[in-house]
Amino acid sequence: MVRYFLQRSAFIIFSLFGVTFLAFMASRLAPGDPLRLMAGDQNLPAEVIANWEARYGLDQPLLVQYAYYVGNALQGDLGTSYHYIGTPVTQLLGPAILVTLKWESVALVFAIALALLLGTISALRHNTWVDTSAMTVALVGISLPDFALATFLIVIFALRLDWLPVAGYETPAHYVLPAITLAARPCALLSRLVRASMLDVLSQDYMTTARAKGLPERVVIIRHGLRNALFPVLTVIGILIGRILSGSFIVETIFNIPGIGRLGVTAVLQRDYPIILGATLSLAFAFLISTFFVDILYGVLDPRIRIAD
Amino acid sequence: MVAKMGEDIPHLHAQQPNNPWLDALHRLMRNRAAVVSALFLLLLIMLALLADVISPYSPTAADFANIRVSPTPAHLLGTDEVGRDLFSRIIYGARISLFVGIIVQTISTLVGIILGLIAGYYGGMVDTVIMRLVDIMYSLPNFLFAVFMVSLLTPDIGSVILTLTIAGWPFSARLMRGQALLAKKTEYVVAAEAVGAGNWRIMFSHVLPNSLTPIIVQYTLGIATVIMAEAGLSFLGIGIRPPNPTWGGMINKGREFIRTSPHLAIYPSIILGLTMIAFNFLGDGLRDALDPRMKK
Repeated sequence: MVRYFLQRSAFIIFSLFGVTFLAFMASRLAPGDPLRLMAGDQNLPAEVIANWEARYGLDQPLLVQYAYYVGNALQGDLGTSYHYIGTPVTQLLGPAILVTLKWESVALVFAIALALLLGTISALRHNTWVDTSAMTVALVGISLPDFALATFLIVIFALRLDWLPVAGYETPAHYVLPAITLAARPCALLSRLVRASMLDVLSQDYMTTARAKGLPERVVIIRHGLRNALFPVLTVIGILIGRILSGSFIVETIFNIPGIGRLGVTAVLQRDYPIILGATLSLAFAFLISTFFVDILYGVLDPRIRIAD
Repeated sequence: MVAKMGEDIPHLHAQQPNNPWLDALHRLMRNRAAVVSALFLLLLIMLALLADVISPYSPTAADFANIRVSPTPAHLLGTDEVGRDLFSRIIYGARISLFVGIIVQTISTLVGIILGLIAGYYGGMVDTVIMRLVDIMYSLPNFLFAVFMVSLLTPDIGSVILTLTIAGWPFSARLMRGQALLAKKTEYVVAAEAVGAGNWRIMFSHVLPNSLTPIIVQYTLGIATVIMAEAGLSFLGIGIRPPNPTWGGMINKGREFIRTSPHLAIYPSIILGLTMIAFNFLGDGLRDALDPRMKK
C-alpha cells in the first residue's frame, strides 16, 4: 500500500510539473506581449517597458521565468492581473473557486446519487422497458451539449413555467438549473457504467450465496451487489470531476455565476494571461488531486490492487 | 453432434468463410436507432455539401427590415437579430461543424494510431516518452485544455482545428498502444516476425488491421466530441468568430433574445443535440455490430 501511495504521489507531482511547464511555456510563447497588453492603447516609452520587464522578470530566459513562477506559486503568489492592474491573481481566483465549489458539489452529489439509482434499477430490470428507456434517456443525456440543454431548461422552467430564476446565484433556487445542466452528462455516463458493472456482479456466485443465506433482497443488492459494482465506477468518478470542473466555463457563463469558469472565460476574452494561467492550473490541480484521492480510495477498498503492487 | 434441419453446419461454410465486415453490416442494419442515425447524418452531410444550392438565403446577408421574424413560409426557421435567415445559417453551420469534426478526428486518430503503434510495439524508452506525454494530456480536462490553447492563438478555424487535434490524439494513442500490446503476443505477429517481416510491415499490415474495430468505434464517437467542443468554444465566443455561422455562436447570440425570440437559440440547439445523439447512437450501434461480445 505504501508503495502504491508513493507511486501515485510521484505520478501526480510529475503531472503537475508537466502541466505547469507546458501551460507556462505556451502562455509565454503566445502572440501578444504581456506588457503591451497591460499598457492597453497607451504608447509607452522604451525605458518604461524595460523597467517593467525587469520588474516582472520578463527579461530573463524562459526557464528562469518558469522557475520564478513555480517558486512564487508554491508560496501562493500567481502574479498580478493584466486587466485589473495590480490585483493579485489569487485574490480574484479565491472567491471564484469558493463559488464554483459550492454549486458544483451540489451538481456532483446529485449526479452520483441519481446515477447509482438509475443504473441499479436498470440492471435489476435488465432488458425490460424500464431498462431500455432509462438507457435511452442516458444516451440522450450524454449526447446533449450543456448549452443546448441549458437553453431548453431556461425556456421551459424559467420563462414558460416561471418556476425558477433565469440566472444568478443568490438563493438555492438559482442553483437548480445550473446543477441539472452540469449533472446531466456525468449522470448519464455514470448510470450506464453502474448498470454494466451491476449486471456483471449480479451473475456472481456470492450473490446467489447471499440470497441462499436468506438475506433480505435489499441487503443483498446494497451490501453485496452495489458495493462490489462500485469499484469500476469509482475510477470514472475521478474523470467525471474533471468534466464537471471544465463544464464550469460554459455553465457559469450561461447562468452568470461568478465562479472560476466565468472568470476564466472573461480572462480569455481580455487576454489576461496571468488569470488564464492561474485558472487553468487551479482546475488542473483540482482534477489531479481528485484523481489522486480516487486512486488511493480504490487501493484502500480493493485489496487486490495493494497486493499486486 | 447431429445438426438439426435448418441449423448451421459449420464445416459446410469452411470453403467460403463469411466476410466479418459484411456480418457486422448486417448486424448494424438490424439496429434501428443506428440506421436512423446514419440516415440523419447522411442527410446532414448532403445539406452541408449542397449548402450553396439548397439554402434560400446567404448565411451572412443582413436584412434589417426582417429582424427576429418568427418562422414563416419565406423564412422556415425565422430570422436572427440582424435579419439573417436562420435555416440558411444552420445549413452553413452544419458545414463548419462537420468539417471541423471530421478533419480534427481524422488527423488526431492518424497521429494517435502512429504514436500508439510505435509506443506499444517498440516499448522501452520510446513508449515511456510517448505515454508520459499522453499522461500529461490526460491530466488536463480536455475542454479546459482547449479553452487555454485557443486563448493563446488567433481566434479562427485553423486555431480551433489545431487545438482540438492536439487535445484529441492521446485518446487514440492510448487505445492503439493497448491494442498493439495485445497483438504483439498473438501468433500471427510471432509468425510474421519468424518469416522476417520488418517492424513497419508488421505494425501496419498485421497489428493495425487487427485493431481496427475499437478504433472505428472511437472515431465515430470522437467526431461527436469534437463537434461539441467546437460548438462550446464558439458558444463562449473564443472559437470561430462571427459572422461565420457556427451552431455554438448562434446559440450564444440567441441567448440574448431568449425572452422575446426563443427560436434563435432553440433551433440551433435542437440541430446540434440531434447531431450529437445521432453520432452517439451510431457509435454505440457500431460497437455492438463490430464486436458482439461487448454487447451487454
